[in-house]
Amino acid sequence: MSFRSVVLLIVLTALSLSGLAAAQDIGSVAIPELQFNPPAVDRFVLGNGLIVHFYPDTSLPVVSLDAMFHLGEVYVPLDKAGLAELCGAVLRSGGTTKTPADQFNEKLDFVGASIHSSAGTESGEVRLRTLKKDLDLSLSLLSEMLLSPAFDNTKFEIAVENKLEEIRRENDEPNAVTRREFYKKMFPSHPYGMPATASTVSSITLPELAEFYKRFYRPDNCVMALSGDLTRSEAESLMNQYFGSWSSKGEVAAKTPALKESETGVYYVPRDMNQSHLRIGHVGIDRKNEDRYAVQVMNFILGGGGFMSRMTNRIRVQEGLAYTVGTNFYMMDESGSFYAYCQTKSESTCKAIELILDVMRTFISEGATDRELEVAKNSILNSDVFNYATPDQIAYQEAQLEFQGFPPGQLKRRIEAIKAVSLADVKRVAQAYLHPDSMIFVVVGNDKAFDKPLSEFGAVKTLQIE
Amino acid sequence: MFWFLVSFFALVSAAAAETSDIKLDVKEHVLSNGMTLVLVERHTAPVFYSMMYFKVGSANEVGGNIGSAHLLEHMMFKGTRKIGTSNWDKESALMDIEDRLYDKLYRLKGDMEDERVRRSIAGSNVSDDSSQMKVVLDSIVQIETALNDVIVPNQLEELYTENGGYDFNAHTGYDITSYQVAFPKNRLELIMMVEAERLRHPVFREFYSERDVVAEERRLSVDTQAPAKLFEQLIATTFVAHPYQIFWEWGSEVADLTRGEISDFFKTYYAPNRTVLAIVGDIDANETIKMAEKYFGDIPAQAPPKRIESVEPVQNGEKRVEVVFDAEPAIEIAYHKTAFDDPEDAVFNVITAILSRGRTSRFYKGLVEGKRLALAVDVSQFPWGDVGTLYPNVLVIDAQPKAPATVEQLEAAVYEELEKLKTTPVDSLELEKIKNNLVSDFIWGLYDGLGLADRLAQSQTIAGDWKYLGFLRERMSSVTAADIMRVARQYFTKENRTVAVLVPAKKES
Repeated sequence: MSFRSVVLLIVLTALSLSGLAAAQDIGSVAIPELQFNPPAVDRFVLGNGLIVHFYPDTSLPVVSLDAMFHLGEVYVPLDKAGLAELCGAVLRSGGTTKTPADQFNEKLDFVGASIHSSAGTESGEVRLRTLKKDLDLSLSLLSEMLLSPAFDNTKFEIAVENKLEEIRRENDEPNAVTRREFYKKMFPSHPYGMPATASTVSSITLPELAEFYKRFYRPDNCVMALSGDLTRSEAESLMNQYFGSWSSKGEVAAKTPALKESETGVYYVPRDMNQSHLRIGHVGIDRKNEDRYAVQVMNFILGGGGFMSRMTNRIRVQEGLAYTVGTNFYMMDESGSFYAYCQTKSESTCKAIELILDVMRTFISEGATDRELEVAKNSILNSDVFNYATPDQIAYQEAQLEFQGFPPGQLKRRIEAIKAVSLADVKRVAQAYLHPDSMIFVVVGNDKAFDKPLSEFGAVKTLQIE
Repeated sequence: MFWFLVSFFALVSAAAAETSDIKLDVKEHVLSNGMTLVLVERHTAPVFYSMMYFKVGSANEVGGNIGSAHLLEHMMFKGTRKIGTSNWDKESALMDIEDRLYDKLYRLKGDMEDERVRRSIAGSNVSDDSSQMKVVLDSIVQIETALNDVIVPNQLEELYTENGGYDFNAHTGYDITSYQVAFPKNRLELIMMVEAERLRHPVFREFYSERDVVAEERRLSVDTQAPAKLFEQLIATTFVAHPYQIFWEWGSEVADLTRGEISDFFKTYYAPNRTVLAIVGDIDANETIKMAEKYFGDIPAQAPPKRIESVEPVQNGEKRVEVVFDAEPAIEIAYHKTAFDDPEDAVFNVITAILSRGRTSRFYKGLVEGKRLALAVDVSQFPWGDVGTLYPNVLVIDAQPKAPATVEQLEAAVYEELEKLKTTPVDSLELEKIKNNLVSDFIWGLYDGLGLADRLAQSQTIAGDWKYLGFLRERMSSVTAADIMRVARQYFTKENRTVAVLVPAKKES
């Protein structure tokens, strides 16, 4: 058993109001210095390898538990896409060998407690929220679910039907279509890009679900975040009581295929509507990339910082062409994506794309200004205290960093790394990680009403969506 | 100045006894101009959450100013005479010219349209003389270029963001408009001053480009979204007289709103006597009241605006509407119901929970898992609010059939569940579950500072008293099986409902 405490000191300094020269009396308001010690999170490991991050808080009689698992579609063959998601859903809906599904639900709902389970591309999550007085009931149900789920056949059928209906409805929502087609081109023949389809979901069997469960829902593949109205010794004894007998069998399977080259180009999806939905970008960085914090600051200035970003200022505020516009670096275990997104009336589709490209190119060649860098860093550092706003967040954040493979002390390193980002760093990572000349463009809309032909940006391939 | 120490559990069931030691300490204070503060000290994290509510929403858009409440919400982020400009006097003069030019532009457009109609009736060729128009458009470009030299864009957002502002947003409702911000605790006085400045001297700069942003928001949130398109028609069909009938501004009217109209709307409805400021967090309540007196105290109160006189007439028969859209089928059903102050409103809250809350709800167990007809069946109230709405609203059932089930099958199954409420008393365990959930909701509701500030401000604004939240809970916990049967029989009738069906557009082949 090991114990680790994280203590770091963040001093949120008074901000320079240089940008507010005209607002003298506002600049005159004193901002007291705020010294904030991020709370320490306890950590212990059960004999079966289960890691628990624990944060006590007695202000309310509640307990929260979040469990993270290394699992997901990345461990599933492409022709079975959706298996992880279904397993996560039926783990919860299918009841346990002791408590049939309907009784399981009645017991939880009766006291207003909740257990959720979901699984995605490369992780699965299980979440419990309960009043302290119902903790034994809630933990015993959660323990049954994780240790001896029943995978009831009817509930499995319902989950499959529901997933098929969701797939049928996917094309109703233009943003969902834009996102899906974008990732298919970015990560072809890989679970990062290839979604579940009617045929992959229909081929999934109940024994495959049970097998998936056995491989991945195990204590040595899990990190938990526990918080609330408990002492450390109560926490440890409860975790041992309910999860101590949970054992790991067999080997965790290897991940499926290696990443392939993106299929860059201009893709158009016809849809009869008065607005175009755009997503433009390319492969980004994985979450262990050493430049991730410099990239965070760079992206804040480019398109991640809301009204402080160049994208929003140029396209929304100055031109009135969009309600939401911005950029994002989405980071995953093995890779990541960079994209700009925007929705604009059909008649300004190409103008919006031109502006996005222009903002990117100018930023790459000129970099940021002193003031932009100052605003970005102040914003990130001053709002950092919101990472510690609730007990469940405090525990979750620590647990997640360990789950993602970061060494202890990452929170402190994150603050230091943000503080250290220089103008030269911003320019360097903009040049290294933004590639406006080699991108995937996905445009969903009605090209008859576009201001110019999309071919301005390259040969257009039309994607027919059923 | 008043102190309130209230336990919401006095009348709640046995399960609540174990948690009756949880209290919500709220400090309430009314400034001399009528602005109300509702404060909760919570020292668990060095932050505060602020919710500012104004008693105005799109229901107040009476008399041809549809879209005003929403456009005003956007304009409130454009700064003040001190924030957002490098030269307020010069900017103010330029904005006057800009307004006159746009006014001229509208008149010209109107004249040209009249002329076009006149000529086409007369059979003569339509040849627009647009030279005058060009002069005006060129002048607009010139003025806006000059304005860009004095405007400091996004300065308010910069101030919020750089100071660690978190989750800042605004929402235009039907009875209310709300502004939310959260900051590290050491920014409290700064934010008080800025918020007061926004109420004292807001400047609606970049007005004409922001109108385009609002139009784009409609395309994003309604025009391209099947559920919203369907819902818009459901509501427009349900209400014939009451201004709740407009789900979202239709779009065309916004292009005609002027800066002068928005300024008038602001002056009338954002008066301090219609303002509630709720703050939850690591604050000292007495110090916060002193700051509020200092910064907001001298903003003058305003005479109350025109009341909403339209009363929705009783519906005398089922109404149905179809929306053809490129999407899978869906159905939405609305029943007229009560306003917040009707005791039956609490019964509807309990019915909503029985029908749709969680996996053990009747719709989920019966239609999603039991008959396997639906992907989802949700129940909500429109307009929605934690304490209800100022005027009678509707209960909405929203369902998506799961193929091969049809909308017709699903609709029939929904009515079957509603009939059960009329004929069979809800059993005591089911009612006890709802009451237990009231307790756990209350406790978890204290966990989230922003949500708590929101509910307190909402209750104070709609009901005139933040304690109404507790009264409503008590009302809900005393709802009986007989109450549910009586209300179901009275309201879930064919005559009282409106049904909207989404019909998939035929695909071009």
